[in-house]
Formats: sequence, structure tokens, C-alpha cells
Amino acid sequence: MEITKSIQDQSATLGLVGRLDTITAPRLEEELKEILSNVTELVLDFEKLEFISSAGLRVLLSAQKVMSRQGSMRLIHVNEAVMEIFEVTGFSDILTIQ
Amino acid sequence: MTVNLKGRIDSNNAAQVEKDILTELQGSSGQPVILDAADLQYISSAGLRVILRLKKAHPELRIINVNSEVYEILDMTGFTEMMPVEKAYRVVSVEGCEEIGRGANGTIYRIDQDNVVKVYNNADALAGIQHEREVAKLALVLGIPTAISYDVVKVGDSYGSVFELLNARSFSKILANEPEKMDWCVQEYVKMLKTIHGTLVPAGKLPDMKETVLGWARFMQGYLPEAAGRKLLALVEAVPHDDHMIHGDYHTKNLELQNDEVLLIDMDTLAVGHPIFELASMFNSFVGYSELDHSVIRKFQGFDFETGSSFWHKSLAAYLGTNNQRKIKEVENKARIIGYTRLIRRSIRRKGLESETGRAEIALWTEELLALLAQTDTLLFHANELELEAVTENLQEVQTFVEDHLEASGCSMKAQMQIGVAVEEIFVNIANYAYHPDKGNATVRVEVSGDPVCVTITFVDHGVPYDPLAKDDPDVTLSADDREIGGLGIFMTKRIMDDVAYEYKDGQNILTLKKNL
Amino acid sequence: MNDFGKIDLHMHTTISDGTDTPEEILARVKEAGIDLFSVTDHDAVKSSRIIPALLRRGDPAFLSGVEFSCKDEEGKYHILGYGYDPDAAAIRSAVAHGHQLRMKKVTARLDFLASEFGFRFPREELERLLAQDNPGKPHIGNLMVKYGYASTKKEAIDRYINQIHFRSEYIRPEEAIQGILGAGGIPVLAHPSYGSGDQLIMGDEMGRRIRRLMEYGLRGLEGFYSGFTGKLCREILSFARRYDLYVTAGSDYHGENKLVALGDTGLDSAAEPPEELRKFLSEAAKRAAYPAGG
Repeated sequence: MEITKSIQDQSATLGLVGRLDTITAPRLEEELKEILSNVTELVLDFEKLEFISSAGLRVLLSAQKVMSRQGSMRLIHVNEAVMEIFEVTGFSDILTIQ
Repeated sequence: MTVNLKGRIDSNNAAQVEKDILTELQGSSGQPVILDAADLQYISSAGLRVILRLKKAHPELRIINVNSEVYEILDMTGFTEMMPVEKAYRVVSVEGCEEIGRGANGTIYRIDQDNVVKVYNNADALAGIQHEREVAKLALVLGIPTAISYDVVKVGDSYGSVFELLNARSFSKILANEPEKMDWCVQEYVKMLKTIHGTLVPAGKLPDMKETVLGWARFMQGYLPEAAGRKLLALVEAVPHDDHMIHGDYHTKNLELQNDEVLLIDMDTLAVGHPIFELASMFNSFVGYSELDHSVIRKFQGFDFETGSSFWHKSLAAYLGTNNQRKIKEVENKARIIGYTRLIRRSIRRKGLESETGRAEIALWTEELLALLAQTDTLLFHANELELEAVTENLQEVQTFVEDHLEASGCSMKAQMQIGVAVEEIFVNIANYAYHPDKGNATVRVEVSGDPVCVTITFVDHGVPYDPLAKDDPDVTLSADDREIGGLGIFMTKRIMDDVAYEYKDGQNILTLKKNL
Repeated sequence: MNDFGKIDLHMHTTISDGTDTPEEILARVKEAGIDLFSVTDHDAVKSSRIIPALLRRGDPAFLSGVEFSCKDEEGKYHILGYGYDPDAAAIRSAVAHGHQLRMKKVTARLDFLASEFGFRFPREELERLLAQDNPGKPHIGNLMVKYGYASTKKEAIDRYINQIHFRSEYIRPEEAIQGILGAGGIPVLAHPSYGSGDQLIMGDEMGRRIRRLMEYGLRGLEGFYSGFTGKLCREILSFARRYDLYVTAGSDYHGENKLVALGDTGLDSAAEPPEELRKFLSEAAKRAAYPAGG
């Protein structure tokens, strides 16, 4: 998985490319740990995300818990397959998906 | 005992001919009677009745060298179905003709623009020709595109069968001259291979390849350490009987491109049996025969050893439906066991033990064979099954393996992803808990079947008994703050798949996932 | 299996060109384990008169039989007749006509030998010859050897008797069929695939032949025959089925004269017989002669 990053002021956008699974989820977690303390707005661009497993969901849930305390988090360009995973797991009710 | 028939046999002389034949046959008791019709121009119904009476008195009776007019009468009246009737043969020379193929029992030459002749090199050529004709017909009836010989000819001291093969080029020739077509060749070659292996043959119609291979294994008993010999025999014996067709000599010289149609030729080795026997012969054709002397394949196939090996590996990958190197290697090693067995036996029978190079070759193959035997417990393989160490580092390999199979069966991206989520949960679970803190293997099996299509994925491990389904489902209606991090995996798996079942049996955790597409 | 077990409905005795007398043939039929038989001498019904009286307890059942040699504009035929009354005027007149034509041939041959080669025989020899049921070339040949005109029968026939060529006369198939029917019998076409001599009849030609003979009253086909291959047999059976005709089975045994074994009809007596043969056998059962006392 590749992660693209752009930070402006307190707003950060991360683009995820490839698979967010057991192997790659720890890297996203690392990335988020580094930037979350300084941002109030987190945007995750899922346009190029092909796959998400529960390991990825766990990272999203942790991020959501942090961001709902200090600002906002939203997901953009979520494809249909990933969306279905969110729905199955109830994540579509927790996350802000645009 | 041969009796010559001459001229015309009709009502004017039938009685006399019959008497003459009986006189000639006196004292020939027990010997099979052959009527040589080389000089027979015509036979009427009165003559036919003479032959019928002879047949009754001599059940072994056969007629040879029959001209086409007489053959037509014998065929029309049903004589050809009650006794062997051999036509008189046209004489054909293959001097200076291009050799386009060579098999275990014969060599194929192109005799003109439209025709090829397969010249048999064994003593009993006519029986071989007859056999090949019959099996080729059978194959054609069962849906395998092949050329059927339309004539038998005399070639030197042997016989040949003539086929029409217009504008045809063998795959070997294509590979040698147009290397850029390698992938296309692999694709067509594997497509044909799968057609062959998917063809069910009515019982008893074709020889059983297992019997042949058992013969090789028995031969080896004197030449291998006793335990290894026994293991080899046991491995072959354990291969179950299989009524699906195998070609038996499936290499690229036996696949022809005629206009746009791919044709299988050289059918005399057609048999039934487990595909591993076919793969063994393929391994030898592309690798085994030329492994120690790379010039062999160039002479035989017209391309170099690297092309042959590459073609073999690509074909095996396509045949197994995966690029998983572990899987490919596993199956190749099984094929090599039979392949080397055959090579060693062949060399010994050709007096290999009497020359230094022969002994060196046999020693090398034997060394390989012993190493392979030590690491192999079965010759069976399942293209859809992958066994590997249950560690998260292998997750990607498992995912790709599963995806290969799902993609091949036309599974949508969305369904592939959902199944992928479930596969990850289960495999990671096994990696983390089954053998902790030790390590062990897991087996993943993918089955796609039925209409509507149903995907079944099975995970097997030998770790501590653990039923992941026993856990309560998490409450997915809770808000983010109240949600537990984790515990979602199994729940997701259950939601995504249509059926998830766990079983502990024979020391194995067996988890089965099903999804209807 | 049919009710009779092993059957053979086509064989010849010394009354025509076989080498067994009626007594001998009965013995051989028993020896061959045949349960129902018919003797079908050429143009002669004598055996059908003699044999029923020979049957003893335990003997096989016997069906009266005859084989007419016939000819018309379309070709030659052998017509078998079964289960007729040998005393009926209809069949006796057909036999008499056939016999008369045969005698005419013998007389013509003897005249030719006398005029061409000067071969003459004592009157009592000629009378004895003509009194035989079915004298032919071999009988004349034997006579020639006996009187020193030839050293072997073969030489007599090849060198002298065959020198005469004349148009043989035969009764017409309709006459034979009517004769058989008139005597309450069943007319059957013998070995349909083989016409006379070198003829081989198959396919459409066979169909035309059968249809023509059916117009005269033909009721059956000899579908099982020692000289048939499986393919020829299958063809006859399919014609029988198509035209709703009986099927019979016969060897055409001639004793020493041919290599045919008695009972060799190509029919497997253990197998279920075709419907058309079964129907024939149930007709035959009503008409057969059985030994007294069963």
C-alpha cells in the first residue's frame, strides 16, 4: 500500500493506494500517529483503495475515536465494494462518508 | 498358414476354390489361416460364402492385401466386421521428406502440401496403426479435435498411416520461429490439455496409464535403495483410478495449428489416468530429456532448453490456475518423481549402465529422485489447494492464490474483495493463535462450483482446537466511542459469507466458508 | 429363448441334392440337438410325407418343407414353403411342374451327349435315372464314369456336360407361392441376400424384390442363414420388420456336398428371438408333426 499525504494548516488529506489489510494497516496507524496530534480535519481519500480488511477497519475506528474528540474525519471516494464492508460492519453509521 | 486367392471367385469356380483351399489347409491344424488376396480381382456372393465357411472352420481367419474393389464388397456385406480384413497398401517413400514430429512409436513426415504420414517403427506396425485409428476416432467422438488417418501405406519395410494436414504448423515450430507467440501458445496448449483431462472415457476403451507407471515403479525396485523403491511403488499405487483422458505424449510437436484450428495428433499413447501422469511426461518432454544435455531439445523440438523450461513452467502455472511458485514447485516435484523414474528405466533398458556417461546420468537422476521421494507423501495434487506456513508474512500469497482462482471463474471484483476480507480474518487468526508460540502449516482450498456459482474456501490447520465462531458478535450499533476496537473480523466474515462452519476432526481445525455468487 | 430351443428349417436330403437319406438326416438332427426341423428338398415334397412317420418318442418336431427354384423376368429366387399339406393338389401341381422342367433339362442333356459325343446308356440306366426324384449333372456324370466316357465325375461335367448351353426353365415365383398357399403353407424367401449364383442383393434392390414377391403372397424371409454375416442378417430383419413378414432360420445343410453344419443358422438359440421369428414359430407349432407319445 502507498499513502499519499498533503497537510495544510490543521487539515490533512491521506490518499490510500492498494490494500489496507493486516500487513499494511500498521503503516497507516504509524502515519496517523505522527500527524493526528496537529490536525483538526482529517480526510481519507479511498479512490485508489482496492481492499480493506478488519485490520484496516480497526485503524479507522481508532482514528475516528481520536478525531471525534479533536475535530472531524471524513472518507471520500469510497468505492462500492468497500462501502459494502462498511455497511456489513455498521461502520457506515459511525464514519462520515461522502 | 497363408493361402493365395487368385483371379475371380464366382459360382463357376467357388466349389473348386473351396476344395483347393481345404486341400492346402490339410495338416495346418491350429495355425491361424491367412488368405492373401493380393492377386484376387473379384469375388461374388458364391465366393463370399466360401470365405464364410472357412471362417467358421478357422475362427482365426484373416484376409490381407485386399484391393479396394474387393474390400468394398467385403465391407458392404459385413465381412469386415466379422474378421480382420487388411487392404492392399499403397507404397510411399519418405526419402527427403520433412520430419514434422516424432513420438514413441513413430515418426511423422510431410509427404506433400496436404498430407503427412506417420511411419511406425515398431514391429507390429499394422496393429499400432489400427490402435491409433481406433483411439483417434474415440477421441474425436468424445470431442477432442484430431486428425484421423484415411489410408494405410507401405513405407519401406514398415507401414504408415496417412493424414490430411493442410497448412498446418506444429506449436514447436511456432515457438522456435515466433518467440513472441509464447504466451498465446501456452494459452492454447493449456486449453487443449484441460479439454483432454476433462474428457470422461467410457470404461475399458483406453489403457490405464497407472498400470504403465506401476510397471516402471516395479522395474525400479532393483535399482533403488529398498525403502525408497517401496515408497515409489506405494506412491504410484496410491494414485486413484481415473477415467479421464490423458494424451500420454503431450508436447508441442503433437499440437498442430491448422488454419485457425488447434489439432491434437499422435494419438497412439492415449490413455486414462490421473493428470499427474501427463504432467510427468510433459516435464520430460520439455525439461527431463534434455536437462543434462541441452542439445537434445533443440534436436527434437527445434527450440532451446530455456524456451522449453519457460514453456513448461508457464503451462504448468496456467494449468494450475495460479502463479504461486510454491504450488507450481510442489506439483512439478511430483511430476519429476515419475519423470525421473521413467528416464532412469529408459536409460537402463538402453544399456545406460554399460557406459560411463550413462552411469553418470543415471546416478544424477537417482539422486534427484531419492531427494524428491524423501519429501513427498503423495503424488496427488489439487490445483485449488495451497499448503504453507501459517504466518502473516504469507497472507499476501494466500490472497493472491485465492484471487487467481476466483478471477479464473469470473468472480466480480466486489465479491473477490469480500471473500478477501474473510480469507484475511481466518488466515491471520490461524497465524496468530493456532500454533502460538510455535509455527505450523495451514492449508487453503478454493472450490468454485455449481450453478448459481458457489465459492467454498476451506482452511485446515493442526493447531490447538479453536472455534472462532464461538465468540459473541460485537454490537455494531454502538457509536465509535463505545465500540470495542477489534473483535470485528469473525463477525465480518459471518456477515459477508453465506455460511461459515467450524469442525475439529482428526486433530485438525477445519473452517469452511461459503459464498453464493 | 423360443419355445422350441434349437431350430433348423432349411436342409436337403438325397431326395434332392443332399447326401443324407431322410432316415439319416433325422438321426443327425437328433444328434445336433435340434428341437424343430424342416427338410426343404428342391422342388420335392416327398420328405414331408416320409419323415412324420419316422418320428419316435423323444424325437424333434418336424415341419413340412420345400424349396422351389423359381425364375421370372426380374431374376431367380428360391422360395421356401412351410407347414403345408403335402397331399394338397395345389402344391403337388407346382412340384410336378418343377419336376417336369427339371426332367426336361436332364433329357436335353442326355440328348446332347448322345448327338454330340455319341455317349449312350442302357435303357434301364436311363429309366432308373429319370425315376430319381431330382437327377442332375452329378448323376449324369456318375453314369458317364460308370460307362467309361470320362475318368472322373469332374471331367464328365467340365468337359462334356457343361458344353451344352440352354436356357434353363423354372417355375415362376407366383406359381410356387400360390402352390404353397393353396396347400395351407407359408411361403418364405430363402437367403434373400443371395440371388442365384453370383448375385448379391442388398438395399433398395432387396426392397423391390420383397415387395414384388409380397404381391404374390410371400409371408416371410429367411433372416438367419448359415451364409449370412451379422450385417446381412440385420438387413433382412429390418426388412421383415418394415413389411411385417415372418422370419425363419436355416442352415441349408446338404450333407457331404457342402461344408455347412446342421443347425448352423447364425441364430443364438439361447437369446431372445426377434418378434418376427417368434410369430413364425407359433404358426409352426400349430402345423408341426410331433412324435407319437410326445
